[in-house]
Amino acid sequence: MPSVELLTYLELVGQQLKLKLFEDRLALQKVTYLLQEAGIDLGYTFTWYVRGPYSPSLTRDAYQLVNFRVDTKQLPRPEAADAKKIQVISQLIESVEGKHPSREYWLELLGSLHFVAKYLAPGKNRKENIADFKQKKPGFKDADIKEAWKLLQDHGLIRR
Amino acid sequence: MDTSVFQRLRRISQLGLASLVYPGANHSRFAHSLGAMHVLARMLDNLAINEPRLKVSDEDRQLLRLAVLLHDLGHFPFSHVIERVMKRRSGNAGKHEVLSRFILEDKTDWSISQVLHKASTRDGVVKLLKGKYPGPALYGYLISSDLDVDRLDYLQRDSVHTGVAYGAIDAERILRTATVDNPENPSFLVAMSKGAYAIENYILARYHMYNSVYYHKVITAFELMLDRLYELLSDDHVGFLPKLEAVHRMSEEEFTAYDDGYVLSAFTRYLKEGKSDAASELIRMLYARSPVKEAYREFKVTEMKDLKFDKLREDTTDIIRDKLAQESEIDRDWIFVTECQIPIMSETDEEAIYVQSDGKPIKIADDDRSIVSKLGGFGMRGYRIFTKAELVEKLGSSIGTMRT
Repeated sequence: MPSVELLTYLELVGQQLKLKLFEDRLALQKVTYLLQEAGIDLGYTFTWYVRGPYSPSLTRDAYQLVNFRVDTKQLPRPEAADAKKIQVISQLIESVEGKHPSREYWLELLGSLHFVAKYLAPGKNRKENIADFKQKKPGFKDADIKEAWKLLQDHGLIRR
Repeated sequence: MDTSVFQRLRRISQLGLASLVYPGANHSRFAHSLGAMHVLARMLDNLAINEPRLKVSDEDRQLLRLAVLLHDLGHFPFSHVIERVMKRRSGNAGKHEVLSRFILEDKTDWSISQVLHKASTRDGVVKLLKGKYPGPALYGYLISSDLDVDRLDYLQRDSVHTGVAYGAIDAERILRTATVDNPENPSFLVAMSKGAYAIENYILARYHMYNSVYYHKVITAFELMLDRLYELLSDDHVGFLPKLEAVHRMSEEEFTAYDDGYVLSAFTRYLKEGKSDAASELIRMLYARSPVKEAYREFKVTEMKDLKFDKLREDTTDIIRDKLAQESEIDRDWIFVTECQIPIMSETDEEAIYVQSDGKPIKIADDDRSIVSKLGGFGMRGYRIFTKAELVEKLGSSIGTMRT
């Protein structure tokens, strides 16, 4: 039985645990990735897959958790140190709500760009990171990539 | 492979206590690790033939082989059984993969870490196991997906050793008909059309192996007993049955000795103390091959992502156990609750199996030519409740009350 703690953090950043649609599953993955990168240790290992950072065990846990009746209000609240990190991600997600073409497009872009910059090409500069990203994920617009980089910088997830 | 920590895998059973039901199922994690590495090498060889534009450097090939060889290094005794105890207590930190990485990254004085460091491969192997290696998405897919090399080995191996014939797969065909989606930026394997039937058979075989072996009623019963024993008897000391934190403190020699036999020795020592508690009785039952009995089961083939079970099942297994103990007045040490879920196929783009269709890859779940496309999103979900034979009726009655 996976830890129900995950549900608390998802709820706090405004992400419901839903798995019916592809978009739901993608959002779950990218939001959890970003939460971990903000410093919340949920213990999932993310690897680079076709839609960016992805954790197989998160998917398995989600399918288990989705059908349990868990009253998240009864669960312990995160400590103060985590509260700030949660707020960062909550604000980041909020900034892409309603953006064109979709929230999920932006979550995939933010998560994937971050992963490339931090893990796949860590010693490179911004220009090189973006070039690497475009080679791996050619479906994103240049203007959106630049904006996503700025969002990640503004929220302290990228520091260059 | 000659390092003591790797040789330890000879003494970790691949299938936990499955040999109590399938006597031939005494193969080890050692054999499986070698097998998975071999499958990876064969896969890369066949990909090079089927898609010559795909470039995997010699360095990457070697790192991938090593990562697959070592992916189970941190397995606990009796494989997933003890791991479940560790995960319940410590969350994702209790996973064997995390322990594998911990050994390679943090135990730098251990021989296995030093051998890898000397060959300048340790960093690359650790990065691959952490999912942070700067390579294409294909590498992650080969290591963990619906068509990964781990699965391609263990399905064959487990089928042969248990004798469960409907778990047999045509691995050779799958390997020979494998290609990739995009050789310049490969993200996943794609089965050529001529390999489609082998893939269908593989998908169904996996499902049958889960039902027949991995979630077999009696094997499950024994594993729950072992799980309970470890939970009851483990402590913070390295010397008896260690909790996760104690495992982390082990020396190389102590960890090398931490195998299936170590756990059984601890049980035997405990028996000699002559206590008359649940743990002693469970050990005697285990040694006598006398499993706890099923008091209730509920299984459905249904959509994996949205399932409404009865009222009892909406709670987590721990809560169910506590409520049952209260309702039935049976000691909670004698109530065993377990759930299972067996998806037919993954629904995610990342882990799905892809086949060629008019020159393009599509998920087999979306391929109208394939019978398994009608099964996409479905799987088996269920739960079982066990107890001692003499308490089955009493517990069954309480379950009935709580389900309504």
